[in-house]
Amino acid sequence: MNRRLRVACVLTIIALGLMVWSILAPTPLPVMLAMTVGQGLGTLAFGLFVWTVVQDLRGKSPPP
Amino acid sequence: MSASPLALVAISAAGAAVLVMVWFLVRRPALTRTTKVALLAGIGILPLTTATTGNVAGYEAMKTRRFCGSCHVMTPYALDSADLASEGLAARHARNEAFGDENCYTCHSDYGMFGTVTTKLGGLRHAYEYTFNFRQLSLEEALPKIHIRQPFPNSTCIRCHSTKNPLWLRVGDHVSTLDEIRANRTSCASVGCHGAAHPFSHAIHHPAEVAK
Repeated sequence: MNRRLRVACVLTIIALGLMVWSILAPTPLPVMLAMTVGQGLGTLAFGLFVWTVVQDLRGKSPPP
Repeated sequence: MSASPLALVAISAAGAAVLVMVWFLVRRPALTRTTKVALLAGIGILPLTTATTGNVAGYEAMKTRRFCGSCHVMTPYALDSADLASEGLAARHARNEAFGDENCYTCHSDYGMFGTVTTKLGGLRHAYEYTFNFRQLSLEEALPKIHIRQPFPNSTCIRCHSTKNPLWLRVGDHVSTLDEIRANRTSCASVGCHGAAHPFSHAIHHPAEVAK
């Protein structure tokens, strides 16, 4: 189990929560949070995923 | 809640992504090729789908009068333009289907190649002003302090009222001030012409003028 991937999953869930909140309640605060914090967290999570997969493919799989 | 197809796509993609995330967090599978593909969908493709469709849905939602009126200091402006009894320019235009529920955005957005971008930057300024200067104020305190940042440009009116229609040119005041209107030196929304867009706001800012 890779800790980075678990963190990425949690960040993705938070990001998706913010994005869905902005769709369900399209008022200024949720919309701005989704487009800034939400998308930032989502990008960070994807970056962690790519980093982990690249390391795994290079045979430098991080410790479980 | 927005019930547009885009919103449904965004929420469905988010739901599917969360299922993948929960599966990974609970089951803790080995990092095999299948796991990587599942995570690529859960962390990459599905959230990207939610973000893009959610952004479009968000941009559409931001055009609505409900969105503009959701900050308490803008509520009177939204209510005024939705008031069927109001004779202000904003209300008269909001009754037109071409403006409708998006009448705030239609009249206050910038036009031109980068109009959407400059309008969004202006919206960010509104959010800043509201958060740091207006959020704590009561309506009575806030309304006298609210001013349009730049004079309302006639070019916004001219987009529909071209100033070339024969019916429009039959009006003497239009003909006599045609150059000034097109040059934005005389505002269509001035009191001597078509009146203030939001009469209640004009009365707050110019009480002496209204008392006459």
